[in-house]
Amino acid sequence: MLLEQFRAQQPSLSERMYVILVGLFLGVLLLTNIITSKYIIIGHLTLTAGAITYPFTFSLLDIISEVYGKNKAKMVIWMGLLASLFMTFITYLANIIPIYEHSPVPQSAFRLVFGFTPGIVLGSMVAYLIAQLVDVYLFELVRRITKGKYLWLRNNISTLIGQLFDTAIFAGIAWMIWPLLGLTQGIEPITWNTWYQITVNEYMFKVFFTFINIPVVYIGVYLVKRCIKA
Amino acid sequence: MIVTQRPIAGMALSERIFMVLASIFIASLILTNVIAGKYFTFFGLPLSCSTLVYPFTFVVTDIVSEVYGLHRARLLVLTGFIVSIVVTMLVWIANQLPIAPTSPIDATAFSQLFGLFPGVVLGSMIGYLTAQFIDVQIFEYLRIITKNKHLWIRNNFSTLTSQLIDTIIVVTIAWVVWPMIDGNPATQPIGWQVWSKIVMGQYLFKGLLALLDTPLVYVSTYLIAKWIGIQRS
Repeated sequence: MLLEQFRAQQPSLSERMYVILVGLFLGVLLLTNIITSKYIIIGHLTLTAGAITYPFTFSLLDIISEVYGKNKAKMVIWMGLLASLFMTFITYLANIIPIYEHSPVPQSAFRLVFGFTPGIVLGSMVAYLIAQLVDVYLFELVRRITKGKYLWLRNNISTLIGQLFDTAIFAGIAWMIWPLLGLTQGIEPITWNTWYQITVNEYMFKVFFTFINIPVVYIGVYLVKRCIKA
Repeated sequence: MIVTQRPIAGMALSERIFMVLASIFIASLILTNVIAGKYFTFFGLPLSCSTLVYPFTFVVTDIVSEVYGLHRARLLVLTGFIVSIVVTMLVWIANQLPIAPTSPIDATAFSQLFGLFPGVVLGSMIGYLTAQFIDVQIFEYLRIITKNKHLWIRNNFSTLTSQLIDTIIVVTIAWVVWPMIDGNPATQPIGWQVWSKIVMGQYLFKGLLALLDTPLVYVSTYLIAKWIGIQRS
């Protein structure tokens, strides 16, 4: 095809919407990686600040999956990985560059926030992989025990336990193992107690969220479909 | 019309590459805002860390304009704007939430980094939208004038013009207009001398990077056009 013809093609409303949804997914994902080291208190729960933003990535991914299909949803996951690695590289560079003496943001604050970033990105990848393996393994195990009956049982058990692994491994790598490696200066690892507390609280929040996610995705899919008239 | 698109299950290759470019664009844009508060010195000039990543947005819009056309480039700019608004809102909420005593990072560090002055956010939003739309328009205009030849002219001229406009708008709104209208006696607008110094410094650095990115845009557009199987006239 000639470049001229190719360039003249207008993206359809549905394609435009896809790009905007992917943009939102990436925005929320990257922001989560940056702000998640601030622990917050909501009611009696101690959560990461990422807990209030991260769930939106799941809703967005589900909406994209539902409206645009599996392939376009997979693409979003790869783009999330690419953007996370890019962010790790840039923030690492910005962190080690010598600071100007009158800088509006002091190095202490910058180092504290971005010192954790590589550990967070690494932690979420490792945790994701292990959680998926556990999920698949358990699914198969329960299927054999129940002799292929009760799909809902293996579905829920594998997801719930997979998520527990995900939460615990992520918190361990991001806030304990990464600071202990000493590759970024000026950050301290959390204690075992804090690790335990944040894992349990985050996990409870995640389980709670899976229920909220259902109506959110239904409404999201309805709105996107109506908007692109699909 | 579609003849040489390589068949791939799912998304077309051209679509995939577009999404990769879009992702780099969005990531660069968000990082620009987040790391803007740290300054470093470059040959005596104080520069914001955002100058490390902001030029990526211009490289990507140039490549997209060149290969995918004006419509796609505009779509990217609009998406960037929507995402910026959402991210700013979420940052504001995260900054307001009460911190836990066990938090790995303390509230001071967090608010030093994210307690952005509304003027800075407003300035960069307006500067961003204006500059990106102007970049895309000039690029397209020059492409028509030069009859698709001399990519380096449109690439550099569009970026140099839009970066100047962007720099002026951001610095003016953030450090001159906002301090005048915010009703806070503690904030004073900067003098015109300081203003010109900051604008010059930022612009020189951005301009330098814009010139350096020319070979990058050339190689990328050539490779992408070849890869997705469209002939350059």
